[in-house]
Amino acid sequence: MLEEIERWDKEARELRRRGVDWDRVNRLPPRLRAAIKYYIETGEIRVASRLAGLPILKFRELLRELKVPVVS
Amino acid sequence: MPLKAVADTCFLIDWAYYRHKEALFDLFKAIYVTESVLNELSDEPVISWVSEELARGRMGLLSESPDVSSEAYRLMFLSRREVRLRDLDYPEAVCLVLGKMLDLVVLTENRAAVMAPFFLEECRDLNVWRALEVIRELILRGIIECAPNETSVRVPFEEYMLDTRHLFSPSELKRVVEVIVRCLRR
Repeated sequence: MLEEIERWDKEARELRRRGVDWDRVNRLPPRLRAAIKYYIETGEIRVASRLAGLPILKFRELLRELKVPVVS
Repeated sequence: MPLKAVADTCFLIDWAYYRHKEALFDLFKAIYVTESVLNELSDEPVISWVSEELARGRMGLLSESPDVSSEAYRLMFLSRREVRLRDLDYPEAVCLVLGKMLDLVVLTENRAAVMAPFFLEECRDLNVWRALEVIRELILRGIIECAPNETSVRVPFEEYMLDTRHLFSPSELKRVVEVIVRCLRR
């Protein structure tokens, strides 16, 4: 089970990294940039939205704009 | 027995964009939303959809009594002790507690909540479904009709990914599609 979860986490992280508009990510204010990078690495949207200081729905919109997919 | 569910924010904010979102109410007799999830919904079209369904009675609001709240905090604490499990946050922990208390399917995309039945004794018998499992059930129960082949079965999943920009893990999707095709051919 643990191995399966680790494999899934790796696959999900790679999907989140792929296709991201890094130019736009790197031009974000530091707090948003850090939150987006945290999200890409972990997929934890609630913590990431708190890091960004945004409501979860606004943060989800930002992910859409930056082409960061949500993976499940 | 008709299925009922409690939905987490992460599930609702994507499902609201899905072209087959109505099918959810053919699968579930009622979908409940908790106060803490409702507090996280602020944008169109999600809040409009949830408000309309609350008014129509197909969704219902569940309040968080002190015992629900304290059990949710206990699950959060347990999740932090279990190193294999991601940390549960309060809204999804409340969904798990209410799912357990009221025999509801928990709808969430949150990894910690999805993993909870595998790692937390308290959640062992819970049904925790993501959109992936919901679409699987919609097809298996004939609510979304598909021919018994991989191409046809993939369509509702591809539509979901297109509508929501939410991707399914390719390996999990492949596994689920294979299971559905096998079941439809029986």
